[in-house]
Amino acid sequence: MTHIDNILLDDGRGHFATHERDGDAHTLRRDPLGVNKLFFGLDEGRVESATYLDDLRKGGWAPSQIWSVPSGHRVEIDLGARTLSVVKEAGPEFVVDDDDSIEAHAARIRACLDDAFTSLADVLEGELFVTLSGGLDSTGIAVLAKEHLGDFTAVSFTVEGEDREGGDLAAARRVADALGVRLLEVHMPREALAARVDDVIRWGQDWRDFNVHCGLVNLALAEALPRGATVLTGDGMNELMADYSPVEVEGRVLYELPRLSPGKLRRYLVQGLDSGDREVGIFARRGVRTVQPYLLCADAYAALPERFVAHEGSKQELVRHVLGASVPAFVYDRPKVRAQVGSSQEVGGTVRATLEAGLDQAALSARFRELFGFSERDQRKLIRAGYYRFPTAWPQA
Amino acid sequence: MTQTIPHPEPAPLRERIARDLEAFIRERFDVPASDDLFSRTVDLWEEGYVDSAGVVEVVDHLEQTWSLKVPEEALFDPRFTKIDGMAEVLEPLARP
Repeated sequence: MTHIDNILLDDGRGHFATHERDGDAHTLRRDPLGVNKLFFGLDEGRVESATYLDDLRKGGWAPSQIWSVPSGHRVEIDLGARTLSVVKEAGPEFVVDDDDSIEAHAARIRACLDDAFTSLADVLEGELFVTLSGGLDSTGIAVLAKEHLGDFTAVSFTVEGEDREGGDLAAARRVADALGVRLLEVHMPREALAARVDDVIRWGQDWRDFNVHCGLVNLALAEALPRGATVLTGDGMNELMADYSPVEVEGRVLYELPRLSPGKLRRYLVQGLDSGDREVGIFARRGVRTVQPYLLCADAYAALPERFVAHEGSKQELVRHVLGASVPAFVYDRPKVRAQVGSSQEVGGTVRATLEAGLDQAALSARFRELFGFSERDQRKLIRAGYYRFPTAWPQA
Repeated sequence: MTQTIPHPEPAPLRERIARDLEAFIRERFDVPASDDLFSRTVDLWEEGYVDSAGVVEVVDHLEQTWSLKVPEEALFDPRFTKIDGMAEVLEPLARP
């Protein structure tokens, strides 16, 4: 059974999932944001854990016997006593309102990021890469990496034939040039992307279209990196700042969100990091360790009151206060582009690649069931409100 | 001589939560009044009335209406699949 590497900083923060055994007693823990996944199979006499649901299915565990440890929780199991308890240990608390200025919040966020990068310098292994789309989130990570970690290679993705002015790759080139770092460009044909959907569903542990589309970008990037490398990503910022919106493609609306205000939405988006493994799981399968520095500072972002996250341009305003002129000026002015969409002018990227291959949401769901041997009922039970299913007591037969 | 007009007993809290939740789900998820399968004891997830994202809206409504915090553990409580079960789980937490 695979257990991917834990990333632990000296102050206890990190991305981790652990399983300790002492006779019949088992203790399983997961990091506060659920960055590292942790599934376990449970029956009368055994507890077996793994990063990947696929490992447990191949190990003979039935869908009804497989559970997850919820993010920020500890699961304690005593096989002899047939008891199971779930205890919350950590997790961000979202602030509704306060009296602090954005400058004060930004200073705390910056201090947290500086501290995290300083600590990361002690634990990072292998060649260092930073995923770079030329957007605000990834550029922020690249800026901090350059300042604290020194040399690295940026890596950027485009669907073959979609490298155009104003696109992600063009912006990534400008950022890499401004920072003075190498850029590894990954160009992948649409057909090659569609052929990788099964791998993305299996190792990304999800069928939801947004996560599959993002996972395809990450798999393409992962395949270009050497095994043993570490990649830093700007993931998590969109959840922390509720910076998501639906995308319309040929009359279809993709990525619909719960109908909540941005201030409330961020709590649920962050909660939803518990399920889906579109970054860490996919990179890890290719032997690449992932670090998501924004999530190491989730508490500082969660402390932002709703007035600083709930309006158009919130993120730009915050980043100006956190990173200022370290971020090239054109990045602040760029229209929002999602890596899986590829351009602000038209929908392309992995979205178009999958839709052209007939892989719409219904097809992705069916593919998940086939790959994992799940019934529709099993699938409906697997994810609820962004969490993978977890037990609240010893499961009844 | 004065006559005392009896006031009807207020519905117990659990019943009020269930009643409110039923109305919310019918309105938010477009459940028609003619849907005979829908009830307070139907499994909302199994029968497709509420999906993984929809439950987020249900939780938000419950938290706002009843001034409570739905704990993560409640999401996978076996009772939290039906309207009556949700009301049972949340009754001790609610501040009407």
